[in-house]
Amino acid sequence: MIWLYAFVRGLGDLPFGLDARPFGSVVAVTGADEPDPLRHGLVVESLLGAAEAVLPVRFGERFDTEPDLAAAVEPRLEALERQLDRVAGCVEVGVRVVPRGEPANRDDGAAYMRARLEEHLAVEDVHRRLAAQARASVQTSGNADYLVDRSDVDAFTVAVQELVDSHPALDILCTGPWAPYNFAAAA
Amino acid sequence: MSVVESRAASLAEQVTVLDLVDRVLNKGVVVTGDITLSVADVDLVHVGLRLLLASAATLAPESSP
Repeated sequence: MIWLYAFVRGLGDLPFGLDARPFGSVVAVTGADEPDPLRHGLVVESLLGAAEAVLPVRFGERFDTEPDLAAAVEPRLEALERQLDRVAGCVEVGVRVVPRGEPANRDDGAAYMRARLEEHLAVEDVHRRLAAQARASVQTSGNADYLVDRSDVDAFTVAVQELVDSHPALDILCTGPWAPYNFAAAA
Repeated sequence: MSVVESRAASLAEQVTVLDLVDRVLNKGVVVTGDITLSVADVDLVHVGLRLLLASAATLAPESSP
């Protein structure tokens, strides 16, 4: 069984226990042992330090033989190259924004709604400012993921800290850097 | 490490594991097109946690003396 972890480009040293199967400049990183989801994730994260561009593959992708793998990969090579271009040199940073604390004004409907609107606008403000510092972003209500150039990660972290300081009514949780899972599938 | 610090550290670890498993199960490129981890209306992160527990359970009998 061949377990597929990621597609990479510009691979340096391959972490122990993995195989590199090249399709032109696109390299499929595989393993022979069945992983659990956590191990799959740890392998992909280790690749972030070993290659210039990393395209995480979803957990569960497996093939009986090398020809089966090739049959699935070869028709998609052009799209994979485009996606690798998109994420090259980048990492993903996750940011969760949640209004903090007990909502006040429970007895006053209008004031309550105004407070909710202010919170919503503050959350949107945070995401808009951070999106301006990233190559791309995806957002679902308070949860957003940003595609950030490696060289911009420090500046991005500073921006997050500034937003933490300027929005005391919000809880802002920053996670990462991750491999670019949210930017791996075709746009 | 104080109790508060160690609780904060383990919470951070739990958040990190959850975030990683969520990405691994729900995001990333699919080339086979026939992964069916989705069960209608079931949160995939919870499915993933059950998968993790199953992996630990199958390891346990082999490691007992």
